[in-house]
Amino acid sequence: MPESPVLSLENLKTYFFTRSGTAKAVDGVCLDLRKGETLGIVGESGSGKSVTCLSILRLVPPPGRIVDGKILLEGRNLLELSKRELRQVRGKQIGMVFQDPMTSLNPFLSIGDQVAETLLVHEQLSRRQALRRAAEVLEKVGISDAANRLADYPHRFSGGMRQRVMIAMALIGNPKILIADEPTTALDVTIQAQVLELFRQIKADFGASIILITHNLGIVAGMADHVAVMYAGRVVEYAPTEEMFSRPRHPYTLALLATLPRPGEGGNDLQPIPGTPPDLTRLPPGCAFYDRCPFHEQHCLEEAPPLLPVGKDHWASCWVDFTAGR
Amino acid sequence: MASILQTPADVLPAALSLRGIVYRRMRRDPWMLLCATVLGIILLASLLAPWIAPYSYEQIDLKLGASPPNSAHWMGTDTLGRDLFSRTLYGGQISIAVGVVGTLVSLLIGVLYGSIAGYRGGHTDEVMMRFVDLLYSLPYLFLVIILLVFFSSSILMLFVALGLVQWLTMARIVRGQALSLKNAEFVQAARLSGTSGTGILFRHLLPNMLGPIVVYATLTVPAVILQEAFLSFLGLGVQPPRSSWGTLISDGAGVMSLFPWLVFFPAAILAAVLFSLNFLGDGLRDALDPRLRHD
Amino acid sequence: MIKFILRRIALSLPVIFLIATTTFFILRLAPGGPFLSERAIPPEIQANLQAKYGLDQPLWIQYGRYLRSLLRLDLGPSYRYPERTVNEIIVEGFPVSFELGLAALLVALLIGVPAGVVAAVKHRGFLDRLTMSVVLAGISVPTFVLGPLFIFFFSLTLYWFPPALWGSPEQLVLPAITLGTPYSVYIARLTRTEMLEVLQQDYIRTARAKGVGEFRLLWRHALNGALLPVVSFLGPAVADLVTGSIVIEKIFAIPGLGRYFVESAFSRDYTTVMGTVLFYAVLLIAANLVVDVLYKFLDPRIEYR
Ligand SMILES: Nc1ncnc2c1ncn2[C@@H]1O[C@H](COP(=O)(O)OP(=O)(O)OP(=O)(O)O)[C@@H](O)[C@H]1O
Ligand SMILES: [Mg+2]
Repeated sequence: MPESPVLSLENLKTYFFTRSGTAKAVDGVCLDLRKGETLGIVGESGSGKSVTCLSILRLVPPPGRIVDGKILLEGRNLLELSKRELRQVRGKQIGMVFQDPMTSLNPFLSIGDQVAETLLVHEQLSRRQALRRAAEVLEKVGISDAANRLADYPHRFSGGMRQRVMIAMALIGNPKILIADEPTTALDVTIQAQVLELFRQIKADFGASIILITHNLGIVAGMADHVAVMYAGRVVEYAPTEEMFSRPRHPYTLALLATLPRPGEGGNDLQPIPGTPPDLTRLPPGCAFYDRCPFHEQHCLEEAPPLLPVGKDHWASCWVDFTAGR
Repeated sequence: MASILQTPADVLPAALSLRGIVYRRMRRDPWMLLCATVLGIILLASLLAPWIAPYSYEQIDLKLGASPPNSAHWMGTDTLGRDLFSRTLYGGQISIAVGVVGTLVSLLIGVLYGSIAGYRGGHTDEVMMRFVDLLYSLPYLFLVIILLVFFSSSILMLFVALGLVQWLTMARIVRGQALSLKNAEFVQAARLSGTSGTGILFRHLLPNMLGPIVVYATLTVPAVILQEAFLSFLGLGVQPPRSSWGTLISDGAGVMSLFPWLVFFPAAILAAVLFSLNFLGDGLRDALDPRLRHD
Repeated sequence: MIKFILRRIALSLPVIFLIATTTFFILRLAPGGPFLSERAIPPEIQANLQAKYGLDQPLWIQYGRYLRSLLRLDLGPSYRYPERTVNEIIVEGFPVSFELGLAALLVALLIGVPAGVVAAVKHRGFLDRLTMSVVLAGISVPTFVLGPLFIFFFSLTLYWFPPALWGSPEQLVLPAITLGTPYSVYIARLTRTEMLEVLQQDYIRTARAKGVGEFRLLWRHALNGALLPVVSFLGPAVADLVTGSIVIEKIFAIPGLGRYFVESAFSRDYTTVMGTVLFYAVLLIAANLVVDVLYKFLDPRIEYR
């Protein structure tokens, strides 16, 4: 892939070794995140989006393990770092916003302490100074009167405000990269809009590169510069956003887009497409989308298609070019 | 003592197929199998004491006095020359009986009380559980001691008194189970089809709560045995010449520096039994507890 | 906060009354009496004694008199030691028991919590298995075996600590450890379970994602949540410690309240028995109140009402 990205995943494999078999949650993911850009990742539930993100910070819970691949942060492979070096990356180079703001904040620590902690851990600051910075950042993400709310505990905050706190927590270390795993799924629609606006602002103000995971194609269209579509633990298509929406090259992307309602009909969440996703513990040797694919050929059953360039900056993993005949 | 050195109340998991879980656990964990075996042997030996024991538990031989383990008395003899092995076997009968009966008493009260509170729910539940909380904070054993001293320290009294101490946690666990089960579809269905409250309790609730109940009962037995030993130590347990493990240990502890075997053997056996029961109970609880099943 | 405490105190008054009444009637209904026992006392003296303490009166008059003196916080004279009142006995015996209990609780927490944390952090590792086996072994050895064992080793063999009696700090060590061990074991188990649970929480992952180190993670983020159940265990634990101390006081010949209680029970010293039970009930209610306040203090989600 072109230019030198801030973050690139090469052939990342994260497996869960469960009693009922090895679930290949992430099975050879390749991705690039370019400086100052927003990368959207979409895919249906269980396609491995969250596990990919957790892998980047090496936060995969047992029985999961990263078994292969590289995670290059400006050329440095995160998988080779010592625990100590890794901690320097977490929070400082890469900030993370988790999906569920209700459970992701520590109920026993005040908001101020939690937000300021990132600074305390990474920088030589007194608690007072850190708290002052925390108040500034909280103010910036839209918590009014933040200085007076530092001592409050999370249960006093609404879901939307907690998500802002989470975002402040990820931003305060001034990371190069912000990873947001469905930051708006748990929020209602008006708050969603506010939080997204916040992300746009962040991109402008902080100059961070963002990985944005979502189920909502509308959000992707509005926010992302590039989109990666994941299916069964793999990236099946990667392209600039506009290109992806206008010229999809993977049948799965096509199916996703087909479920989009016309503009004005509201609700851009991914609609289920016919068929069921494959069992990750028993992936077929060929293409994982075979069963659900209207274009499949004999060859698809025998060999899994690799991610190949299909246009300028456009990659897809499919043996069939269904656009050819048109 | 040790009335609360037990499971944290209310953490016992939902009912699952008990036999299947026990079986799977046992197969996977050889330690559990070992514990079960040890327990089985001690239990059997105690039950068969009249046939196994080489002497009677009260046969005094003052000439012999306290003699260390030898070929005739392989656990030695006590200060009155009684055979310790025989006394330990017979003592086991009493300790086990106290443990089992005490547990049954606690089961009876706890299960009834808990399932009524849980099944009724609402206000009844609140009042009943408040009462349990309240009793929890009482110096229970003091009342037991009073009962035993002022009335009689017969074995029957012992059973009842110990069961009375233990029912609280059982009530809590059962109540939690009943509370969650009562809205289950099959219970609702039974209610709609006109099954009476007692019918639902015995035919639907109890069978489905069996797992946690059995687990907790496994953990209650050692607690009761320990309590009996505690009371024996204060001179309130079974009365001589009968003996329980508790009385044997308490007699032996007094002369530990002179005749160490008198405390060693009964204490080792008691510890083995308590350890095995706790280990089994713990293992079963872990197996049943969805929170602890990671893989 | 104050209101919460006051309400709790108000709620416990009927409980105390109930306990007073129950113990009173249980004791009176029991056969025998303080001056009717085996001792061969001439009938006239017996009658005299009975009259002196009002035991010849109808039951309800005795009960009324008992309640009235309770209101004045007067637990009455001891039947066994005629020259002392029950209040005096408690004032004398309780500080000893209290010191012992407190030391034991400290032992329990200082051993139990770290052991539980280590076991949880090294979940399924060697240290976990080791701690948990020690824990089970600890639960399975009764204190009255442990006590003599400790005496045997540390006093009679190694001469480290005095084997019995009370007064100096060295004399506190063995009894406190003996009494505290079962609780440390229990607390270790509880801490481990809760810690394992907490370590799986999302907010722990959040902290990790911030680059928080392992030590800070445990200390700042996990421990508080894991200790809440331990704190609520302390309420019943105090009740249990109190009963446990009876045995310890007997083994180590410590002049504490537990021993007075047993002795007075055996000699049917009604007033002392009732007095101690009542005193302990109040103590436990107070201990539970303290625990609840502490709990609220530790859990910010509970707001004072
Ligand atoms: N703790 C775990 N244990 C076992 N398997 C897991 C675990 N976490 C994830 N997986 C496996 O990884 C797969 C991918 O999960 P992941 O959370 O990445 O999906 P996702 O794309 O984020 O889905 P969603 O859109 O629902 O968040 C799951 O289907 C599951 O099989
Ligand atoms: Mg996800």
